[in-house]
Amino acid sequence: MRELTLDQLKIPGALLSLCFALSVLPMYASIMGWVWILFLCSVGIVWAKVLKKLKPVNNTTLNLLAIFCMLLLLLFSGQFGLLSTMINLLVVAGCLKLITLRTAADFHLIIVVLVFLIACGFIYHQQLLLTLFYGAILFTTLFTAFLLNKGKLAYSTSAKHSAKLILQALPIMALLFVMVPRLPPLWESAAQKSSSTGLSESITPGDIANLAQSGDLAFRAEFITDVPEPQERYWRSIVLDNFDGATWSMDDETFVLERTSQIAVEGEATQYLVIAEPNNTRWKYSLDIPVVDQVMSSRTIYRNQSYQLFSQEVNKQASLYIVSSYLSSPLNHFLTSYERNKNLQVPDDGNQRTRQWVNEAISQDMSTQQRLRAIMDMYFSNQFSYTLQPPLMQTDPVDEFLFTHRRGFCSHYASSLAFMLRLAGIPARLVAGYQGGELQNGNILTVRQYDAHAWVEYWVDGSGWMRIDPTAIVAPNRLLDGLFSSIDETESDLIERPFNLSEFNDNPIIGQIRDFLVMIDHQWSQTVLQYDQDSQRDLIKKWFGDFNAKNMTSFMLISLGLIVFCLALVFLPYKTWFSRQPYSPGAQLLKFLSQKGWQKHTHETLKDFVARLAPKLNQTQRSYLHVYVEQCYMHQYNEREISQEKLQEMLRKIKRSFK
Amino acid sequence: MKPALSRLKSVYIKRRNQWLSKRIPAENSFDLDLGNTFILPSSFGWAMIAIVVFLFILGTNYQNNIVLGMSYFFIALGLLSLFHSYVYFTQHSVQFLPFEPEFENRELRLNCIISSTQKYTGGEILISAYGQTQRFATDLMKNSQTCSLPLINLPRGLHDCERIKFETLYAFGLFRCWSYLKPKHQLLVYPGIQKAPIKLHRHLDEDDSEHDNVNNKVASDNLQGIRNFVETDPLHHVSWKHVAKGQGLLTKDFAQNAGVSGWVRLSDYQNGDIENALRILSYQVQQLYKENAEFGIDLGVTKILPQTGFDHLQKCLFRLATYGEPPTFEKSKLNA
Repeated sequence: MRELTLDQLKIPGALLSLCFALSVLPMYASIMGWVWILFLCSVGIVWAKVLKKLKPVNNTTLNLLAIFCMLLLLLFSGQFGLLSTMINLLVVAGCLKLITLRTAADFHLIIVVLVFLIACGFIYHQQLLLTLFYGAILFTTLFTAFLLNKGKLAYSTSAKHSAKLILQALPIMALLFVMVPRLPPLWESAAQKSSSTGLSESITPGDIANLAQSGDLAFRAEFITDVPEPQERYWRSIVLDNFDGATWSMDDETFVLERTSQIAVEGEATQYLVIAEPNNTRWKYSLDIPVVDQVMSSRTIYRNQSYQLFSQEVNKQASLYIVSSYLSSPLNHFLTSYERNKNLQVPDDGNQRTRQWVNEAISQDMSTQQRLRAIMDMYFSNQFSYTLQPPLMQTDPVDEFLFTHRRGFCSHYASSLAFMLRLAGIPARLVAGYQGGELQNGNILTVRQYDAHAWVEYWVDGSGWMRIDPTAIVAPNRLLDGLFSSIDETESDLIERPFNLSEFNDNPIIGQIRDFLVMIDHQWSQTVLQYDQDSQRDLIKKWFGDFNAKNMTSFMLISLGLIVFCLALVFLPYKTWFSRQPYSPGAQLLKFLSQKGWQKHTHETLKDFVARLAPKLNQTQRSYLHVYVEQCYMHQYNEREISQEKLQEMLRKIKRSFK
Repeated sequence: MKPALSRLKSVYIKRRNQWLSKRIPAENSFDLDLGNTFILPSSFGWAMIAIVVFLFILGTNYQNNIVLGMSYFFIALGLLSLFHSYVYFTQHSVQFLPFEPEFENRELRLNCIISSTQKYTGGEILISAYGQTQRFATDLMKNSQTCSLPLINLPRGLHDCERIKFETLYAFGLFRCWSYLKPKHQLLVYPGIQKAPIKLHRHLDEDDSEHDNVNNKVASDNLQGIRNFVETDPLHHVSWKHVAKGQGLLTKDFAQNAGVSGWVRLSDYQNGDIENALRILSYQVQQLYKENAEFGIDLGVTKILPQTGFDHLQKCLFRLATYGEPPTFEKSKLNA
């Protein structure tokens, strides 16, 4: 157990506690309240130790504290799930060790905990900026490990040395990253939090606004043709046509319906590439009416009768595909009587006030357009408002929304409208997806989770499915300028916004920087985050022409060779090989003697060395060596001119005498 | 349980030392190199290996490239650390300095010179022997430094030095690079001091009754004269008055001591503990040396003829230190 003095503890201790604090911050949401308190206490203790000598904490107290903490963790583990509990456990372990920080082993333990914490952090977030942030923490942590063995080096020199060592590791890491074969998941792991945000396959208006608060990326679309107008940017993802009075859900048959039949489309095509983040559904994003041109992975993308794109597996990884959308083409390809009935279905009872209101507003002889107008009048003639914090509406949610609260966000509006339309005999359904997006670089549209939206489609005989967005009536800005323009300032604090420079749009320099950042982020997610088995296969195909066992083997061998080359570059004494040594008679003698099995020690002079050998030599050898060494010294210090030939002649004599 | 464990440990150390004496024979200077260096992950290193495995599984299960990247990073760092650690360690060479002879219960010190080619600056070497460990931080400017390590107290005798462990955790502490070196120099421990009146026998075979008691202080009125200082003179005979006047080192010559001569006998004290007898003798020879008397010692089998001087004292003390040890041992004469 290597105990460290207070002086040795000071700076590494401070650095380590800082790293610990910073690595915990991005995971603030998963940390339990009492762990926070423990955490603050332990960081405080370390800093108190740094600033002032402090008595170490009693061991018994600490053990009791540890037991207490474990009990608390066990108690709460049910509520928090496995991954969260593990993170809390790590934080608690780190805190307890920080309090007792005394030996090198304590430091090492905290470093191990930190590495685990950072790994957990990467499960939640993988953005470039956060990766760089964690990278910096990792560097500082390793620097602390270096400080424990730095000896008399200054801190700045230590930083330089450790930076050099870490930089040397990066190319090897990159090679391993490219080379090592990717394996499928070994077993099912506890679900991570990030993929649970996103659209879900059922909507219950009356939920709290979960989606609107997340600034996570949903997908990016890179337009090949012109970018459509903001009010045209309705990204269809999920179509919901079952309504039970509170929840809109999806029909089970949606998947089995015939796949991607050819449909007639008209008008101009808008072509774009979609790079979609992973989520827990099978659905993709597209504008209406989508025709898939190309898919950049092995998984096929299908389209069903509701014009939804989907693949057979859940989107565990990001997907890349090119779509042509025919924005002006009517959605009139499919409506069987079965579907017509399905989209007229309403629950048998519930929401009585709405039913009554629709009955009064609609008469049987009205046309579809007249009925629609009559129903829309509900939103025009009453004072509705758009909010991210609607009250809970659990019994007869449509009634409560339309007649009591009149406050809500998109799904409240869409749900109530679709329900009223069905009551009025117009087939209607709810569409969930995203609306809008932030335009960058002139052709890249970045769509985030808070752009999630829900709207309504109703059927008009002859024209097909028509889109109607009741939110547009209440908050027209929501469509044109995005979410932020349609809510109060107090509410906008609720939204977790990504690091974004969009407020400075007017400044051309900042605009360029922003575009550059977007491009880098784009590259990051495409090259690093998306690198998988397929990418590896593509790489081998590109370099070797074909993917087979032989090429795979040579690929691995070449990569291994490169790693060995990297190591050789660092460690082989190539400098001495390539620089021509000046003539040194002493070195030649040493070389000869070492062949005979006699090594000179570093601290010995040549004279000492020969003197040490003397007892093992005969008279001739001894005298030759003596003369040669004398001449060597003369040669070296220019006491007298000794020619190289003379020395070489002498060396030959010595060699002969040893035969 | 505990005795069994410690016995197992001692058996292991014995076996290890047997193996090491073949592989790294005792020598007074070593260049650390492939032949005498060991390297294995430290406990922190093993923990890191476990982390790499864990991160790989985590990254694979969550299909998370960043976590996989982290695991590759630690593999790369470990690989580089292995080499850096080794190159750092083998840039050093060690030269053991001869041990100063000491008395029982006095601290022995191991002195060695550690030189480095300064390929890497900084860092630390841990030197441990006889259960003592010292952190030795290499100097940044100097190529070689002397390092002194306190050893435990040893009983009297001429001892082989234990294997000394030189160890480094350089770079990130991921690898432990170490070597067990054994100096050829031996540790000489003289018997301690036990005060007793000096018994000096005139002749070797004389009776006990006819001895001189010389345990009286040197009388200053017996000063015979002043002569030049020779190295064997005791310091308290130096005439400091003359030194202060700048006349160089001169020694006061006493008349009384010149005449004192005789033998010290072990058999006089042998009725009790032999170690105690040796301590008494150790005290007496030192006292006699201080008083510049001519004395010999009689240890039964070995005898040293009466003589004066520092070399003689050392010879006597060496005999006392090695008393009772097998004669082969005595062959490695004191060369200090």
